[in-house]
Amino acid sequence: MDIVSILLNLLTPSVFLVVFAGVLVGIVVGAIPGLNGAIGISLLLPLTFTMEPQIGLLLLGGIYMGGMYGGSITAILINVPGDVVAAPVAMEGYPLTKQGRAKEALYYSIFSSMFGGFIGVLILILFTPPLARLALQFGPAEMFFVSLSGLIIVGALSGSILKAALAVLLGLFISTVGVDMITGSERFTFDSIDLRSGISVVPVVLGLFCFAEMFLNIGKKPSEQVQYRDQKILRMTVVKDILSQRFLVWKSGLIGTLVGLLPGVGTTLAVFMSYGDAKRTSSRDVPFEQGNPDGIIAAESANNATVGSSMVPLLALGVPGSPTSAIIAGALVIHGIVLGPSLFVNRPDVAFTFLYGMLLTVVAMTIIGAVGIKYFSYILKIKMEYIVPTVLVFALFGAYSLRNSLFDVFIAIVLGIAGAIFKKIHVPLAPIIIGVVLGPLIETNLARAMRIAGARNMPLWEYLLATPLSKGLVVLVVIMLLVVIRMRHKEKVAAKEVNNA
Amino acid sequence: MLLKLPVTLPVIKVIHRSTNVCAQMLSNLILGVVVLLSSIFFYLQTTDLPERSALFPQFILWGLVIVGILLIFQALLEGRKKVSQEVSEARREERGQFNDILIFQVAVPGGLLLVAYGLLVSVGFYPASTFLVFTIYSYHAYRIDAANLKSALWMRAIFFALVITLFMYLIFTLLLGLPAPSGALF
Repeated sequence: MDIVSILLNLLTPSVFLVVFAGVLVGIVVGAIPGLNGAIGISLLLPLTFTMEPQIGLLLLGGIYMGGMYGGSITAILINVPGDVVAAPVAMEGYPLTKQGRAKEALYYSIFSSMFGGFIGVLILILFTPPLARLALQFGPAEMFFVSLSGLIIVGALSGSILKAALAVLLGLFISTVGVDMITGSERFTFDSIDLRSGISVVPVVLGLFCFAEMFLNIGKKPSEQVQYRDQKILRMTVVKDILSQRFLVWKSGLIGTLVGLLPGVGTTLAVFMSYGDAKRTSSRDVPFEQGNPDGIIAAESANNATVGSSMVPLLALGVPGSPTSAIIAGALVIHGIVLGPSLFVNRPDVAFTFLYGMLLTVVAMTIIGAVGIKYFSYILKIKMEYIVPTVLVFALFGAYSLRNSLFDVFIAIVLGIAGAIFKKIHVPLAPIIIGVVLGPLIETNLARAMRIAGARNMPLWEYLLATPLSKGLVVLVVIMLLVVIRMRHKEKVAAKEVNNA
Repeated sequence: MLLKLPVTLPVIKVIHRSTNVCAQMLSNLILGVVVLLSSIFFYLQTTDLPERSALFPQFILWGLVIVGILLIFQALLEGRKKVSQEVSEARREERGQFNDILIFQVAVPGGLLLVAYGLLVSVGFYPASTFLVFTIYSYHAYRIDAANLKSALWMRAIFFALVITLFMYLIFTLLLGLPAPSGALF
């Protein structure tokens, strides 16, 4: 697909409108403590069913991008990070607010997010098509290792190893419910017609993320209202200062990009790593935890860089890099679009319009963020008593609308109750979702590999490691795992420092 | 079922022996037992399946059995550690808070959602959503402060429930033409 057709697809008022709306929703939900981009995407899911797939995808991509930035607003203004990801920004941004420099901190946040966002999307544009071309050569053995790597890494990163393993296995188990596509046998259906078609990923996400999160928000008191004195500062002054720290921006953006590329790893690691690195290398006289802009630059560049790069494994391999991208994958099912290497062959219009359209989400985020600063304090006035019931009914509708199934609604409610309990007993939820998504990929490819190995009269492991590509993948997975474990250790040290402070 | 007795007996002993069991440890213990027993139950369901269909779920269920056993052992080992009076007090408080969360932030809203689901099936989505918004709005206000439950709040809750329902009807049904779950009324 040539660049002119892509631009013709993109440069239409409807695309601009959808992208801006998506980013705005993302910023608002990201800014409200207790909500996040994943919840925003889940709520607007039904809207995408009537849209062209590429436009629907851009709406969701816009929410993802905006949501990543939005979390920093409450962190800076009232010292309440919308998510743990925004904790380092709160550490540096809130002291600036107390000094009457909230606007400056918000400018640092938005322009660093812009640079990070661009780096991530550039990687998305440059790396996804070649990776998809390479993935077309993948056989069952390679696909098995790729999907397994996602599970191993997500498991290795999520809190207690035992509970992460439980979450991963639970997700895989959920994916086995229904009719087995290979033999046609019913598994764990207990003669229920509804269970025969299996448990779809969207009600799982809605249950574990929307319902569980809203349950735990019930009874939360309203956030502190912000009253800050604005010191005048020009946007260009901040941009110039960020550009003077371009090495930090690139380094943090690349850390975010690399971490985002690993399936299932998440943003927290990237943010804490970049923040920790900035803390060690900053040349400014201002001490950290007292309003050092380098902390904001590093955390926000890394944070938004993960958005683009986490979509690379989703689009090129069909392996979601985060719960948010798992919901996006689920949303595309309704359009009959299968993510993975074949997407670039079967629907290049969708794939390339989305890749380049993500640049628009960065532009939209920058415009809304830079112009809308004076309105951000209004977001903080939205009360939880209005948010919780609204999110719950929208999520009920979203759960139903994917397959017009009341059973999906029931599943979402049951998993919502389970998810709230899991959250309180520290069982991570993201690996459950990644397990549900990757389960069929692992099982199908394992079954194919076994069939081929059987036909060739060779042991399974020998077939799995027969090609240089699969051997290379195994080595890559081991290296990734070691790197991730090391990074996790570093993240823990950085998080400890943040907590102590 | 064979594993049930040796595992659950020490479990019960630990729960009764020590009142200073922290909420986290107790929850790990219960989680381990639930995971173990349900894995065995589901494993038994796979025995009638063709070998190829049973293989992958059996791998997973074996994994879950191991995780369940390890969770139980971890909790039992934690339970044997002696702790000071202060830690014991803190743990008791933690357990109380945990029970509060289970009742007021999981069981009650979960129950309300299940009632809303019943309404959804019987009378349709829009009446069910009005009910859910009204009850959750009121319950949220009650959880912040029971004194909030005054007639003005009920009126606000009804008004807000109607506005949200109307908004959803306009967007999803009239504008986008998406089907909503229908019941006897809608």
